[in-house]
Amino acid sequence: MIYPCPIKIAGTGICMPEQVMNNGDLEKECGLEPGWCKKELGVISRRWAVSETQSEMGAAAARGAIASAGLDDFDIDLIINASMSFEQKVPDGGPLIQKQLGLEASGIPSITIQSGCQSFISAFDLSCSLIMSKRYRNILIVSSEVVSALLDKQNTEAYCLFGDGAGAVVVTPSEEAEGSRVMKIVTRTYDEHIQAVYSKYGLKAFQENINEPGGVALQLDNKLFKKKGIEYGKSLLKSLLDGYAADDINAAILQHSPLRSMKIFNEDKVMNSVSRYGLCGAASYPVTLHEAVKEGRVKRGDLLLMGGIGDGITAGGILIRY
Amino acid sequence: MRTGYEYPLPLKIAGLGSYLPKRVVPSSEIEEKCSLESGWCKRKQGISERRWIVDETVSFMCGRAAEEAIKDAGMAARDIDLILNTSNSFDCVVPDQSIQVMNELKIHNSNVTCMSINCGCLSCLAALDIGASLLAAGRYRNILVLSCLVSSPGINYNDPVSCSMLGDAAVAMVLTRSPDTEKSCLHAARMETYSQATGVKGFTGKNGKKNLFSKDILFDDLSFEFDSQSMQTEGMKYNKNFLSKLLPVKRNQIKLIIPNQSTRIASDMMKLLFPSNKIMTVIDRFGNIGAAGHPMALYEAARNGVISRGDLVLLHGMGAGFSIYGILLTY
Repeated sequence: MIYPCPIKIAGTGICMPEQVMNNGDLEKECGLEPGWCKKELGVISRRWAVSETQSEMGAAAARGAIASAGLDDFDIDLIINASMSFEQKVPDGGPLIQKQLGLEASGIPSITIQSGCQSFISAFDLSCSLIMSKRYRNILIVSSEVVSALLDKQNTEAYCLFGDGAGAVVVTPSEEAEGSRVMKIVTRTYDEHIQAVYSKYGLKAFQENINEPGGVALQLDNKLFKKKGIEYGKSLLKSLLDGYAADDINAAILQHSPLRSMKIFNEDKVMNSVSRYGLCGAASYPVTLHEAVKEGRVKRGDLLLMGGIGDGITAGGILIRY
Repeated sequence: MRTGYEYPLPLKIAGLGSYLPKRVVPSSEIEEKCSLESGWCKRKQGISERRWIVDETVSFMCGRAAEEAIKDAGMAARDIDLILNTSNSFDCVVPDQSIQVMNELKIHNSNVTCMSINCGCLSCLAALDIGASLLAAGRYRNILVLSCLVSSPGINYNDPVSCSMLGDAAVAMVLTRSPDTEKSCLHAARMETYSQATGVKGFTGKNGKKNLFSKDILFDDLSFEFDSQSMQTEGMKYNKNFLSKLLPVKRNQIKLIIPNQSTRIASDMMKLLFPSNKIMTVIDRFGNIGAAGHPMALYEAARNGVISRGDLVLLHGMGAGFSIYGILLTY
């Protein structure tokens, strides 16, 4: 890829479910000592969807993103659902979001890109090439998660870490006169620790004739994930920052606590939404970005780094001139 | 700063590989089990036999198909820098199936990127489309595309139409940037999605469970539903102008047309537009193998000398979404 490439995040939007789940209640439910969630996971509260569906929340976030990009719904020429959780397997979340947006007769192509918690980074990665090849012009990326459906309190670490929510961005070409650029994308996979975050079954349960509630629930080995997260996170940030000093970065959205614990950036530059909303799968990236933009902590022209560690173990991030 | 790339994009399908499950299930066996008259499957669906797994997993099948494709491309596993999974099935919900295959292939190279593309049975066409842009932009060099359907463990004998139609198989492709001296390229790609059209109801819970993959799920609740008739009816409606928007060439220049291999109806529809001897189907031997259908037909065409390098191939499909996809490439 020839960087920098003239692409920008033109708009952002979010939608969070109503129900707030506090640490106190969860700690009691799981038999944990008070303060455990904050100390071990860095989470203070999270939202869990009750009646909200993935496609409803996704569409609400998408509407915000399209409006803030100053575009019309019909300007969008590709809809990408970039989420780790599923509302249905068939059809995939792309068409479901299209339908919720009222674009069911538009013909706008709608697909799903997945790589667990890193799905947003993957979709952004593909979008850059799709725009550079002039295949598409205005791409809507929606990360909407109902991860709570995959949580089982037998695994307290996952149960207390994850939250539900949706974030969306519109990615478009950036004009020559505008400063917005994609400077770098780094993605890695460390499959030797595949068991750090896993579910026992998927369709394998059919095959093995297993009928076990909780069989698809997320199993998180937080100790291993943290340890490896620091190692892989260091290497990720080193690659993203190659050619830059940490001080050059105006804002850093660091998705997982091992990355934040490294203290590479000044504390006032680092943002995350995990403490308030829990880790909302892939949605945490656009949710944090939206709030940071709204609060004026990320402005046009800022050098913005977004990075995280996900199931796999995957490590990935982007460096953009916002 | 380069501001863009023009079609045709330098896409080359450098290698192909497949894995077929050990168990061959002849249509007569299903006809007997479902009390269907002899010859029903062949006549109605165009299917003589299909493969069903014995103990193979999605990762295992993808792994073997990938090894063949990588070898066919004259590469080694370490040359791959992106694994693009387009399978309809997955062994575990987390981590992503692409990573499960990477693990199966024992690549252990952190510089590999893994992700999945899902748009039902059209996922492999999306991989060709998106893969071409990634290669043109220079983002990745050698892309391993995997496509697998394992549906037989969820087969419901009370629904003879679906149960006789579905098969299991895995196919892999290696995509690279075509050198300037070679003709291989992607001329055009087009996708349209109309979520108002319902056709493939597929894979709904028997008890009407809305959220399929939740911790409360009991696997007994799941079954496959596939309404091919209504999908094809919708297809006729939306497909009318699709090809004229896609094709930058004259129809008679196309050497081979690969429709989706879901039912006999899909290829019958293409016979209304193209001479039947140019239409490639593999459904007779494999049944409906989901997203693996397109690359399987390509694999069979390449291995049996039906196409050679430089031939113009149209891949076309309609699937859940409802979506239509068209890819025009020089092999």
